[in-house]
This record gives sequence, C-alpha cells and structure tokens, in this order.
Amino acid sequence: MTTVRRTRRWRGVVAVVLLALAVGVVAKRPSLLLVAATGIAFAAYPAVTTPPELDVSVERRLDVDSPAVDDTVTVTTTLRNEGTEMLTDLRVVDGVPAMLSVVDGSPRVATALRPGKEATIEYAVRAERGVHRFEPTTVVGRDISGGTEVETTAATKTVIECSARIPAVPLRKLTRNRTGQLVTDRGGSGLEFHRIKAYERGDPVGRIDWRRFARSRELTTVEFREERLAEVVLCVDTRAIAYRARSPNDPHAVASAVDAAERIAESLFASGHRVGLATIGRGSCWLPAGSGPDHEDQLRARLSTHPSFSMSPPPPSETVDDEDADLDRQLSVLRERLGTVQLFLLTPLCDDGATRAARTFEAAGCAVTVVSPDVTTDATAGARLARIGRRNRLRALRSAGIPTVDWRPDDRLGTALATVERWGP
Amino acid sequence: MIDAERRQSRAADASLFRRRPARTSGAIAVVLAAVAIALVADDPGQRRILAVALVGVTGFIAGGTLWRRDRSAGVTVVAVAVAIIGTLVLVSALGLGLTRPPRYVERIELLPGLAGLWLLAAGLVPLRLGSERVLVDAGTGLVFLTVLAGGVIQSSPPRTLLLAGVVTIVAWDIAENAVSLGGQLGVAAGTVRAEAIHAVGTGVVGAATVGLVLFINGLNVDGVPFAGLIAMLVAGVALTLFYNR
Repeated sequence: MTTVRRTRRWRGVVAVVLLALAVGVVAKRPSLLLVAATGIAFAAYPAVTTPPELDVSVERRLDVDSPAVDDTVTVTTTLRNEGTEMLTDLRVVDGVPAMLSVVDGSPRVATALRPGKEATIEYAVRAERGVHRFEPTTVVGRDISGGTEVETTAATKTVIECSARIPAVPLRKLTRNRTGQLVTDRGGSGLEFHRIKAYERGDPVGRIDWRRFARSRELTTVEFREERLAEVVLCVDTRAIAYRARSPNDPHAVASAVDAAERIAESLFASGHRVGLATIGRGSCWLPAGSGPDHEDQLRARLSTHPSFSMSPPPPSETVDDEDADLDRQLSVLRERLGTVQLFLLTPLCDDGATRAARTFEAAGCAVTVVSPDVTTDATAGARLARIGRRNRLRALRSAGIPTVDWRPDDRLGTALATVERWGP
Repeated sequence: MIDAERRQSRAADASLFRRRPARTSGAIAVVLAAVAIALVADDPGQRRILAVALVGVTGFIAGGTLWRRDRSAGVTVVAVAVAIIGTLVLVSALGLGLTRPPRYVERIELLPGLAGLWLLAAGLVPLRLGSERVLVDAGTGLVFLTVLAGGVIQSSPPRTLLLAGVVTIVAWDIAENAVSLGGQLGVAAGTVRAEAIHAVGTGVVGAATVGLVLFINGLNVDGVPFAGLIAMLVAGVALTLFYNR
C-alpha cells in the first residue's frame, strides 16, 4: 500500500515573499524586491520536483535464528534501490517485532540511494520467549525539496524463535468423537486401562479377558480410556481496552496474547488437534477449527497479518459508542459459530466485559479456559486498583468453574499452563 | 523485583526512540543563520556583538543538548547552568547591540537576528518537545527581519542582501528538515547522508536563484517602473500559490 502526501512545508515561504514585498514597497527599496523574487523561486521549488518512485527491496539476516532468552540477536537489514531513479531522501523504519526491544543501534535510517545501490541497517534486539515475526519495513521517500512524501512498505519473512515450545496444553474434557491424543474418562479402545465390565454382545473378541474366563467362567471385557481429538478455538480479546502495557517500553497485552495464541496453536497442532481462531473486539477474525498443513499456515498468517490482530490500538475515531452492546452483539454471533468446542479465551481481564464473555461461552456449552497475560503493576494507586480488580475477576471465574491461567508474560507460558493442569479442569 | 530491574535496564537502553531534531542539520542551520546576520550586519562593531552572541548560543546549545541527553541530577544541574550562562551571554550581547552601535538604525537592525538565533537554537535542542517547528519558524523569521531591516537602511549592497535572504531561507529549510528527520527516525538513527543530500539540493537551488536574479538584474532592463516590478512580483506570487494549491 502506497500513500502519497504533500508536506506543504514550503507554504510559509509565500508569507516571507509577501513581507519582503510589502516592506520593499513601503520603504521604496528595489533590493528588497529582489529578495522577494528569490523567495518566489523557493515557493515554486516543490512544484517542479517530482515525487519519488519507491521501488525498494529488503533483505534481512539474523546472526542467530533461535536464540536463548535474553540473548542479543544482531539484525542486518539490507535495502536495495530496485528502481531506475535516484532516491534522494529515503527514510526507513525496520519492522521490529512488537515483543522485542532494540538494545543496540537503531532500526531506523535515512539515506540516499542511487539505482541498484544498497544500504544496511544493523541493530541488536534482546530475545524474549516466543515466535517473533518481523513486520513489513516502512519506507518513506521524499523528493529533494521535501514537498511530497511517498510512504510504502517492503516485506521479507524473518522469524526469531526463542525457546517457545509449550510441552502440553491443558484441555478440558468436552471433546468430539474422533480419535486423538486427549485422554478421556470414557471407556473404549485406547492405551490406558480404564475398567473391566461384563461382556456384552458385540464387544470385540480381542478385548475379552480370557484369563478371568478361564478362572471363573465369567466373560468380561477390558476397557481402556478412549483417546479423542479435541476441537479448540483460540479467542483473542483485541478490544481497545486490551492494548494495555506495564510501561510504554513493554509489549501490550494484545501482543502477548497473540504470541501465546500462536504457541498454543503450535502445540495443539503438534498433538493432532483441530484448532480455530476468533477475536472479540475490532473487526472480527473467524477461522473455524481445522487441521492439516494448509490450515496451520492459514492460522499463522491470520495471526500475523489480519487487521484484527493489529499491534497498534484502534484510533479514537474507530471506538464504538456503546461498548457493552457491541460486545454483546459480538458474543451472540460467536456463540452461534462456536457450538460446543474447547475455547481458549486470551484476555488481560482489564474489564468485566472479558469475564462476561467467558461466562457467556461457558453457559453456551463451550469448555472455556481463560489465559490471561498479566499487565498490571503496583506503581501507582490506580495501577494497584486495576490489579485488585483483575485478581477479583480471576477469582470470580475460578469460582464459576472456569480454569484460568494467570500468566506474567516474562514467565514461561508452558509453566503457567501446567499450573492449571495440576489445579484440574 | 526482577520486573523493576528489567524496566530500569530498558530505560537505560541507548537506542530507545528519542524524538530530537537531527544534530548535523541543526548545527548547519544555526551556522547559516549566523552567516546571514553577519552578511547584513557588516560593521566591525556589529560583528563583534554577533561574535559574543554566537558564544552565548553555543553555550546554550551545549548545555541544552547535554540536558536532553542525560537527565540524572548531577548532569542536569551542570547542563542547565551552562545553558543559562550561555543565554545570559546572549542577553548581554542583546544589551550591547541595543546600546553600543553609534547609529540608531544599526541598533534596531541587529536585535531581531540575535533573538532569532537563540529561538532557532531553542527549537533544535529542543527546549520543548512538540514546539520545535514553531521555534524554528519564529527564529528564522526574526533573522529574516534583520535582513529586511538591512535592506531598509541600505547598510549593505543589494547583492549581499540577496545572498543573506537566500541563506536565511536555506537555514530554515535545513532546520525544518532536521526536525522532520528527528520526528520520524529519532536521534539514534544514522541520517547524515540524507541530511547532506537535502542540504546540498536546497543550497544549489538557492545559488541558482541568486545567480538568476542577479543576471536578470544585471541585464539592466531600464524603463521598468517600480510599480511594474511590484505587479510582476505579485503575479509571480499568485501564480505559485495557484500552482501549489
């Protein structure tokens, strides 16, 4: 997407010209009229320059692709002018992933590039847990007078993966009738012993306990815990209120939630479960649960590029007047779509809307698990109040029988999820 | 606790995005503004006063830059002290400018320029984030007033006056570009190449304009009445405004 803007920076020169003209006339000084004449040349300057044709390609190299936590990763981004004209004023901001902070150098540069020439930006980021995709590089070109500004993006796929694997995702019991890895309480075929029951006509011959039959002439069938496939939908809270962060330099809760969603999906896909995607908040991203490489790619693409998961909060112009009513409308639409699936609701629990969403889904028959990145602090009185409010919401959800994961984004997500497994669904 | 430490280490990161006008362009702009004043105020007494003012502005810039870079208590005290001393030196230069030159018109001529120099420096330090453009515009505007005053009292030949006017506009352009670059890319980004190309571009346009205007002037198109010249210029302004709409 390319946008062209007039900066109108030379507009003030006209005032200068008129001033010189006026003073020259009043004082009858021809030399001042000459000064005014030079001013006119500058006022016309932006009109005679043409806006630059931005054709820039980006190539990015990392010194380590999968670093350990808190390691420094050096990023080298090379820009190349693929066009045929010289770019006299090229301003570039590399798309550093929202969760990573730059520790050395700057991901920004301004330079001039002749056709075919290259410029490099080198900087270092500190690795945080998770899979971090680079966003498209923003390229702004100005003509030499600065009168016109052209903005576009150049993308290249780069990923930093930092010990992101989650060993296991705690799933609840509600499942579909397909064979999979989720161990259920239902008897049938499987690996783990469940119970022995009296033989019924139609039980498989191979599962009859022949030793017992030999001992007591009693026909019994051994049952194993059935292993089923779960259908999971990951629902991310992307309402404006969720764009909260502990400090301006920390990633906000939506960034953490999207990161967590990606890792949970990864782990679930690895176990063969079917995973879908939904949002509450701006826009509505809906991807029904599915599996297979194509579906996995689609889900990943949605997480990184769909406007619902934008890393910048919605502008004030987009805010809805009645947020509660809007949320209710979204919830009723989602409830229809979801049916009875396992639902992971990823929300910072900044307001009661989030708890209402969790309860609505649970009441509609979904098995809800709330994963909540903690972005509260105890820096100020207001922040402490918000922290208490969030803690109360967590408690309310737990007492309503909804498992919750209280996750500080600095800690391991896998460990946080494991606490729920112990705590029991 | 770990969080607090983490946040502190992040705050200390040298490369956090800091919105400051680009340094190189800023320095060039201040120097050019001083050159424009020096071109108009060519009396040795005025030049001495300008030199004193430049010392003051340099002190102000040094203190201000230090204050922007490091906000720890000790450094702040030193930086603010240096900036205030620099400003006081400039104020004393203003006082000299108001009392020393023998002719009344020469006193009036220098004052706006010196004040403008300080405002320009304040915009580029910057003294207040968000007001960079206003300060830069006001500063170069005052310098331009000095040029106009020079024209009115006819202290310097038309050629010098023309040059001073163009140098002022170029100084404004470079300062505005510094603010724009700093706003989009921050102070940590490498911007020198783009700054240099932009400055050279504007400089060439300025030089060409001066050359052209002097050439036309030199043709000595006699018989063009003063009113005709004015009408021509007004037509030029109207044309540019219409074209740029």
